[in-house]
Amino acid sequence: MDPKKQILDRIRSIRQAPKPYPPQAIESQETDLVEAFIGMVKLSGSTLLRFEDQQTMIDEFVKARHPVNEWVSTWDPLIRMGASEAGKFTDARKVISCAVLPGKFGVAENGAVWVPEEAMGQRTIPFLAEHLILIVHAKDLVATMHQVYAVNQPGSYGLFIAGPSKTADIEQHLVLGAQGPLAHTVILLG
Amino acid sequence: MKVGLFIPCYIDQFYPQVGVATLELLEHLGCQVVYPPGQTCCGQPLANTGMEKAAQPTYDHFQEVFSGFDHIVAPSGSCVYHVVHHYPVESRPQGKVWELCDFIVNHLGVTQIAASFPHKVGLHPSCHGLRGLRLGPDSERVEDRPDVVRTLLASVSGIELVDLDRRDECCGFGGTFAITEEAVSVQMGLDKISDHQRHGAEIITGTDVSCLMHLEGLIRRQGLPLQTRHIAEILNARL
Amino acid sequence: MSQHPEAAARFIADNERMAWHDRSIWNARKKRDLASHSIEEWEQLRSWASDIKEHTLAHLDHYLEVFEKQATANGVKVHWAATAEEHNRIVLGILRENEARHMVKSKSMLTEECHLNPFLEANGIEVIDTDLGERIVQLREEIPSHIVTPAIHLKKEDVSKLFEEKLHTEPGNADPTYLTREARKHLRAHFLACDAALTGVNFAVAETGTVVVVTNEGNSDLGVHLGKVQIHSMGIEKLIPKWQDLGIFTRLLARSATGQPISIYTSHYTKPRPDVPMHIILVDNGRTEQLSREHFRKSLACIRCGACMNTCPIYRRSGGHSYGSTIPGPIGSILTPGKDLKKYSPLPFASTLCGSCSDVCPVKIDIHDQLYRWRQIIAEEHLLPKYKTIPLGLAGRIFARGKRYDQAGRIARWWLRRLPAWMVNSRLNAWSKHRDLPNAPRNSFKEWYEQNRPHGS
Repeated sequence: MDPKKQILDRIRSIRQAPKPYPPQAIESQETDLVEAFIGMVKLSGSTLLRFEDQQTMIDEFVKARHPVNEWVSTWDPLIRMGASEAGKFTDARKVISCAVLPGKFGVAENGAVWVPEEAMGQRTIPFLAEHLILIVHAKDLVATMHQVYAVNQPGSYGLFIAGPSKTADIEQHLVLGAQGPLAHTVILLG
Repeated sequence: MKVGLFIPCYIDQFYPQVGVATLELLEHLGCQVVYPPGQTCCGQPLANTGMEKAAQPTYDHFQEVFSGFDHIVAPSGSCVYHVVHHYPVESRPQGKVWELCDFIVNHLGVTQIAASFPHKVGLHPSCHGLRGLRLGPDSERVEDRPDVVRTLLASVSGIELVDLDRRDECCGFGGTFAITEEAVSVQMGLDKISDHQRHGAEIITGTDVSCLMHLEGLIRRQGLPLQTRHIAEILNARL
Repeated sequence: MSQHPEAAARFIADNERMAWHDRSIWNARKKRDLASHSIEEWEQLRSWASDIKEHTLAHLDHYLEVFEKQATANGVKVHWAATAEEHNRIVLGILRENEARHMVKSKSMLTEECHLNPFLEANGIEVIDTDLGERIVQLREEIPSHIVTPAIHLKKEDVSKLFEEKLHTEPGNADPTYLTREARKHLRAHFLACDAALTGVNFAVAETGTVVVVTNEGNSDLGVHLGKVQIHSMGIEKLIPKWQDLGIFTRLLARSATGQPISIYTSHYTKPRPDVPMHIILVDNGRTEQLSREHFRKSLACIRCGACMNTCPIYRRSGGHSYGSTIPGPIGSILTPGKDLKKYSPLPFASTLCGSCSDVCPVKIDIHDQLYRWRQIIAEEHLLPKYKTIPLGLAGRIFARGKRYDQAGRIARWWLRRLPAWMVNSRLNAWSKHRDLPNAPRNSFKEWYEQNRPHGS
């Protein structure tokens, strides 16, 4: 027998009272989004850097200290400065020392950043990089997961990232850097 | 006010002083208390083992014994929980069945007891009273709820309530669980006792003699410098 | 038959290790408390989550069809499996179709339930579990002892020894960071060499056809994005109606599980990559049967956070393996009897009915009430042992009559007062192996009352 029909028939043969979908009234909370977000990012074992704007960040952070040509990114200003285009990255065996990706929304209650597929170049990039840097604008911060799911779209693929990959599977000892990035930085602009 | 007094079977048989303390306390608070003589057990030991059907005659007996009371009060959260939560609706007594502290605070409106008990006391909030009857806030849920047991205890003169590391973890009694899962039951009891000991309790109290009987059994076997008292005994330690 | 009491007693016999196990899992419970108590509307979230799950289960046929339609429109191939065997055959079929022989898997309790690994291995497929804890138990040829932290029963020295033998790590080095790094290298090689990836599913959104997978390690995504075919296996109860519902469930899940405000990766797979096939397998395997049981239906709302295990005083002191079921602990004890009542009849009794599991549950499953209900069914099916039914049956007859009860009580107390202490507290009796019996007073309360309140009060 066709398993689909079998499963659906079985469900339909069960007498269940209809149960309405619950009305939800989610109030947006009065919190200082920036302060809350920064606190949560730091709590997750990540580094948080804040710059007034894009130019300050480039001047003070990128130019000052970093080998941009070893980076992978989808962000035009960095690509213009010599970073490799994430979309053109082909060899998964090659170590990516650092990937810099623009996040779309930041969530104040947990420090997570929504990264849609368009921002990755390709899906492996956020996971193969040893150090992942996400850039978020302060204007794109929302209070809770309710608010972010009201504005983000499923697209083809997307995810929340809330820190460096981690595990506590050995005796509950927290170890940062499990299968994905060893280090995680969030740059907050504005 | 006429109150039907329900004294659970193990209190009746093994801890009559808890029944006496309950009776005297209620009388002292101005209640006219009647103890219907034919009473036996609420049937929980059977039902918790799965034998609800075999417990039905006991339910019927309970209902008959306590007919005609508007309020039925028992010094046990667990037995009350069983009657109000597990009895089939048609087997429940007409009157409202109360755990003792709940009745004192929420029906009589009394929150201060003129008693004296100058000891360091650890409270064991028995699970069926705490999570079943919601006599207070448990550590799991996020809520503001007055704690009727703690309120009454705290009003006793000279008492010093100690805080525990795990304030409302189960003691491991669990009715027939104490027998069928003996190893876990004993371990839970020992862990509970050492939590009280670590915090300097001299006396462990609670709303249920069943839990206290289990803890007392362990304390006595190990010869520990700790005692158990039902809360009625403390509230009835008159000034 | 699963023998929880005996297995628990063996676990407790290694008292120091048991105490460590209890403490480290209690820590997870404490973290959960901190995280949930920081959310003012926690109870409201639980209610919504519970209502959404109940609504979905009440209209499961509808949402399954909506989901299939959406996922298909997204370019995903949706399969239906009525049984574990069907599920396993579908997976093997997909692998063969794609000429895949090396599969990486991220944590999936469903595939544990279906015993997928041995089936694939017998068919020449290499399966690597990639969650660190799951990889550890796989290398030990064990099953997970906890659904969120599969190797919670092991000490770092155990892992060190295992890795020394299997991954050739430094002898005696039990540093968790070192061991994790070594596992990372080992697993990275498998990710790069894999040609297929399979994951479990935390949530499946009907209106968008999306499957959501939550990890801390990033192992789900590494596999899914590196493999040449991606497979997601899910029980049919994983559905939720709307994208927006994820707001509620993601707020509850990690806080309940580990006390984190959110897991590190919450991945939403909606459409496949170009030229990489994506499959979703919808599995029944007993779920519709559980759905048909009115009292136990709500158990299907479970989001597998493991909070009921962390809070359960019995689980913490007996270990996950003592339950003898794929899913251990309180939720396992209400799900598993539905699969084989006789075999798992001791499990609903591995509880004091303290109710902590129900209050900690983020979707408000009335776990302790369901344990109580299973007990009634086990008794009705005559699966209770005689040492329970005979004395309790007798007690039932005594409790139904006031006079009989008074007499029995008098006789019992008379004997207890006269028997020598060694006999009263005989270690042959399970109560008094470690506990003294209470002193038997001369008079019952009833007798005291008759003497002291001769005319009532």
